[in-house]
Amino acid sequence: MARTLVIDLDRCSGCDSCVVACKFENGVTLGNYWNTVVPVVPVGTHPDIDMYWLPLQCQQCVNSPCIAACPTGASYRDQENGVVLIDKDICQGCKTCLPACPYSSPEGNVKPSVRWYNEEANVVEKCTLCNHLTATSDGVENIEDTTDPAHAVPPCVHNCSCKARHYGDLDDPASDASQVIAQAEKDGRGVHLVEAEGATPVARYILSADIAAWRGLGV
Amino acid sequence: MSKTPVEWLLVLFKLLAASGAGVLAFVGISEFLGGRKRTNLIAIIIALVMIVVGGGLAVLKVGNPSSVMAAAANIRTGAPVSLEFLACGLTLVVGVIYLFVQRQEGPASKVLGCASVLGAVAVGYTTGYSHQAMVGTPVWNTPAIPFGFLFGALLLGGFIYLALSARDGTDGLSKVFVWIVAGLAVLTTLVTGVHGFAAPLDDRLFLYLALTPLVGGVGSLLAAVLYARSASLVWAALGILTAVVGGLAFRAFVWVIVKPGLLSFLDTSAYGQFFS
Repeated sequence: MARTLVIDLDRCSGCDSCVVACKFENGVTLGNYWNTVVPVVPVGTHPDIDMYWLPLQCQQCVNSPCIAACPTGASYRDQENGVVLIDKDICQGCKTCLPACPYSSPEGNVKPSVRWYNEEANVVEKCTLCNHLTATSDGVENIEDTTDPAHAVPPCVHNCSCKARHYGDLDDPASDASQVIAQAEKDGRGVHLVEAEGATPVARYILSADIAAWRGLGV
Repeated sequence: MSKTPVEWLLVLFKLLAASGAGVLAFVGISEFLGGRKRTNLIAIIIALVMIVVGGGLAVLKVGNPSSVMAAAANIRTGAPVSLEFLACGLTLVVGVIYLFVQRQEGPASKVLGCASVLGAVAVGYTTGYSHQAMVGTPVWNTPAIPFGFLFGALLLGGFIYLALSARDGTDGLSKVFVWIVAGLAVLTTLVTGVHGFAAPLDDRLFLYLALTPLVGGVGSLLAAVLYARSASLVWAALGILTAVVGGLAFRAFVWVIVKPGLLSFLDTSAYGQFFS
């Protein structure tokens, strides 16, 4: 199982709908974020300028340095569907996972970061791919019944105003995520990973070279 | 460059526990180099107090004992922090047993002496390894940190033992003992010096260099050489002071210099290559 998000940056307008949807669904408190949209700043000289918006959340790393670092076992991988999660009942707020995560700020309170330290609850939080909704989903949304657990998608995907976000199991060729990647490759568009030292990310980003050159999180 | 506030409780935990284990290591070494039994008894008590107080500070950091129990229950996973706790716990047990058998002549005290040395190496190394293992923080991902922690902790432990020896009389204590401490000072200077120059330090580089390799390393070496010439409590105290300053500074700077930030991964690539 390789459940993750696939995000089409050609379509992303940086509107932050995904951020708002996430905060509503998960009760993410003011000042905390489970996902953010990073503006990968413009480069070039007018009129040859390119930039893109990079929605950033837990990359669901295969090697999961957060799990390896967690002293209490609060960070774990769901054995049923492979999603990396945090058990808040066990998390002691030691923040060891923050320096372990290549995509997080050391204190978990500065953007861009995929993990946030909730000081009030003394726990570290992050994207769960809304596992409480999607744990048994096939990743192909039933638009007639968006609460159908067999076809649920994370609210950040459902509410994406540009239809840039896709969810699914990359090991399942029939999932929406796999289908979108297959189509992008067929169309000759780039499919990228946000590379970082020590990370083996699963989340994919689609970006056409004629929109912008892929620069990951930026130069 | 992203920076995070210094976790002083962890800094103190890592210095106290590892240096306490370092004292224990030198009691173990004295089994072979002629230390006094009375000195050893006091040294073991001091070592145990340092490990327990250090551990207590770690508990304060995580907030409550139930969290410590959760960490203990997770030891089987081999998480770096779990290894650190495991090493401290086992060394504490060795120290307590050693307390009761150290007066005996015979193999038991020598075996525990060897176990103490191994325990001290384990505690010193794992307190730094728990930083090194954080792959998401590139400037931590270097062997300079665990070895810097290890050598610095043994160095401070050695000076504490030399201070006790100076007080009780150093008759029979081999000069080799002092030269081991001097050797640790040289190693501390080298490792922390290399770390300072290789890490992408900012304008605080000179503060780091002044406190860590210079005071903590060269200063400690000077104290050891002076002690070798004249086994005085003054020189041992000077060594303790320099080793404490260097040890605290090295552990604190680990937190100050964290990583160049998400948007600058390339800044540390040269650093990683330096040690690869």
